[in-house]
Amino acid sequence: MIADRATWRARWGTCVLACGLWIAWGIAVSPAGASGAGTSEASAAEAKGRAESPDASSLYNAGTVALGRGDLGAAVTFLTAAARLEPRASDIQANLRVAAGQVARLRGDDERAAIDDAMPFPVAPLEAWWLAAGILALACGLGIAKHLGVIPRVAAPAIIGALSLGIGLSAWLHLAAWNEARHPEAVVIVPTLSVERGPDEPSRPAVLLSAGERVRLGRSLGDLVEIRFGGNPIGWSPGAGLWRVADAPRYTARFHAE
Amino acid sequence: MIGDRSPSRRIAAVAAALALTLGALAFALPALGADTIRVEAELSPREVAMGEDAQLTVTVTAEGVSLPPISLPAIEGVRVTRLGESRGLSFSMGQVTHSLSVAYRLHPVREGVVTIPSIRVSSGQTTSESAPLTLRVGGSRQAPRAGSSDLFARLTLDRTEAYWNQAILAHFTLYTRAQLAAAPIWESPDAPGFWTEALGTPTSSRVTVDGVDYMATEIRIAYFPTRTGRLEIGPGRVHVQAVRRTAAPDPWSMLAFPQTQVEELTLETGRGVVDVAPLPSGAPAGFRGAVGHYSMDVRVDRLEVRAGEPVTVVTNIQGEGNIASAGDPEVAASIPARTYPAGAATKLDRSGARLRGERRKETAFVPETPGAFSILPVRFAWFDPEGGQFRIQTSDSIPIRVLTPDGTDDSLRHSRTTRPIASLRARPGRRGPLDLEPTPASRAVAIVSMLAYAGVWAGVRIRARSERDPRRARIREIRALRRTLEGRRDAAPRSRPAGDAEVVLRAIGLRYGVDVLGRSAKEALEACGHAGAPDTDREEAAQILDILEREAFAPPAAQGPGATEGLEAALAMIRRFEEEIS
Repeated sequence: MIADRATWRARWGTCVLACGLWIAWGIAVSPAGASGAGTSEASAAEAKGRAESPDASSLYNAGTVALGRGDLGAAVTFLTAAARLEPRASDIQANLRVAAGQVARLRGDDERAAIDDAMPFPVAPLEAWWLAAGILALACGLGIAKHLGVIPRVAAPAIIGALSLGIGLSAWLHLAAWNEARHPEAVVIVPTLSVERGPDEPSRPAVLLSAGERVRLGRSLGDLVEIRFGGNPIGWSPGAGLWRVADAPRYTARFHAE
Repeated sequence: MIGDRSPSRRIAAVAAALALTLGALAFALPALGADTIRVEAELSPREVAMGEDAQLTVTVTAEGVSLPPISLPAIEGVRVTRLGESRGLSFSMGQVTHSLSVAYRLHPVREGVVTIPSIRVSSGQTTSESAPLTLRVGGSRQAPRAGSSDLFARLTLDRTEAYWNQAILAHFTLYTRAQLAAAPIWESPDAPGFWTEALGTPTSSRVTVDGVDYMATEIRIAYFPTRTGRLEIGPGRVHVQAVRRTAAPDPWSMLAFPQTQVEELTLETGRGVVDVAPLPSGAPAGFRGAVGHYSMDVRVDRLEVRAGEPVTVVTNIQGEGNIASAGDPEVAASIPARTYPAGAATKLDRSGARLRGERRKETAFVPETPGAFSILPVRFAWFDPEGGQFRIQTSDSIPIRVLTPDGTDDSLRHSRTTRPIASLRARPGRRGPLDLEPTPASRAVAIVSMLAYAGVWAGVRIRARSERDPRRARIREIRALRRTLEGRRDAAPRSRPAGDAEVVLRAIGLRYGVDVLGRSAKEALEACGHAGAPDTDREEAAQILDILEREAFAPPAAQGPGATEGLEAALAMIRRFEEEIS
């Protein structure tokens, strides 16, 4: 009996080790993971990939400079982009709250409500993707071990639960990525952006957005772009008055610290 | 007495004789003329669409002969309905003419050309026949038509070359000389690549086209190109209900048949092509896409405010063009002041020949400290397409005086959250994509894990299913028996277990699905025979069993290592069984 238990433990350990090695290998070959670790033995391709991918600090510094200049639209854009990379960084969150408060005050809203509106799950998208992949890999490894008779059948509910969690998390992330690709998040950068009716739409009053307000973009028609808010289109406005959050690194050169 | 007649009697007798003579002449003269009969067929219209009807009128005119009946020959491709008939009688130059007109409705049942053969009538020795007619039956009833000389639609553009966002006025006009049963209904014309604004309501007027008077019904639409290049407008489609007059079959019987028929038609205008050029380079600062003729007006609601109170600046752009896409000018103050939008409105006037409008925007500035500041000059730029150049209008600076709050507190100042801004970073931060897409490696981990799990799960299921298959189980068992015998080749017969014969019996039992356990060799072979084993197999098995028994009980001197005759024969039989089962 003791020997059987030892054998079972050994097999279990082997399984978990194999899963861990598999995930570790995946993280190691990921350009983002390698850059995040800051290893000095990066290959030339990885170095090139790092050079192309934005840096949270440069985004944060540009957002802080813009905030100091009173350029709320640019500040919110840069700090939102920086928060996508480092969602738990206290300095990014602090300045983002200051910017959100000023935007709310400019709009006439309660700035305290805007400041308290923090991220519910401060996890970067890259981390969330790896979390989902890790949960899936672990659940699949355990499932394989159960089918091969390495672990007892009583582990089946845990395996199914882990598998469901991994699949659900992956689905949610895919939905978020699809939404970002189809309707990218953007920030108003001009003091006032007039969102007006589009072609073939009935006449209605314009909606005015102020600098720093976050919206999502829809279709484009010439220089005009469809503005979406809360999942619904609210009108059209010139695209020059908005910056996409994903394009924030393109504008950091204009906001260097003096 | 007889020769003594009075003059009045003589006159009466002469008059009676003259009347009799004239009467005889009246009846005799027609008989002197030639007996004629004539048949004519008339078809209206000559071309119809599927679902529409045509009317065939056959008129027979007889002079001097009796009027024969009309019988229509068979006409393929149409369904014929008799509408009615009328008869007439005329007297002219001593000739009595009888006429008979019969009207038929022809309802097409197929597309193509329908031939109406000659219609022959005869009365006595006189015969006549009409000329054959053809009816063309087209496609769908609702298919748009280019129209006819009495009813057609046209598209007219006021320009065929324009700049981006310049107004192009399109007139969609229906010209008609026919009576319409209802007002025409226009479909929204196709115009990809244009911002569309319909102008006013449809108008009607009398016009002359090529010397012919028409009633023209027109709609006007202003198009503003949203991209450059060659763009198309139209075709426009209009649905009309035209009242068509049918020809009277008999001039003597105007009320015999219905004289009008309402026909539904869809007419189509041509297409208009517009070459759209981009705006020239060198747009001035403040240009936001306004193209047309505009003017700007800037006003403030007060020139003196208290600190903390708003002053509202109103910019009003009005003019001709697509005002909705003109954009508002930027309004700024000379000092940092809280700025927020106070309202915006766009009004369009579509009643005129051109699209006009007004664009109003209100911006409020709240100065925080007493003193003075000014509303900086407001600059509005637009492109004048007629002049081919950009134009700029700049307002004057408007000074505003800011007074003391007069003992009242600025509540917003007190409620404002004063948080320090975190300092800049010196170290590099984390790098990564901003587009929320997964990395290829994380995607590979997830996909390969799922595929591996699915593969193992499928493999285990396939294996379990194969283990439950009885045929595969028999193959596995008979294969095991063969291996058992092959392993006994190196042993002396006497040292072999007595199970060689049992192996042979189990093999033949497996081959024919018979349980041989606990049965003697004879019983087992009989049971196999009942299960369908041929006599050859049973005899072969019996011979092998005899040989194996003889070899097992042979004297030791005759025994030796290696394969024996019985063992080889048993192996050959089992291999054959294995192949047969497989």
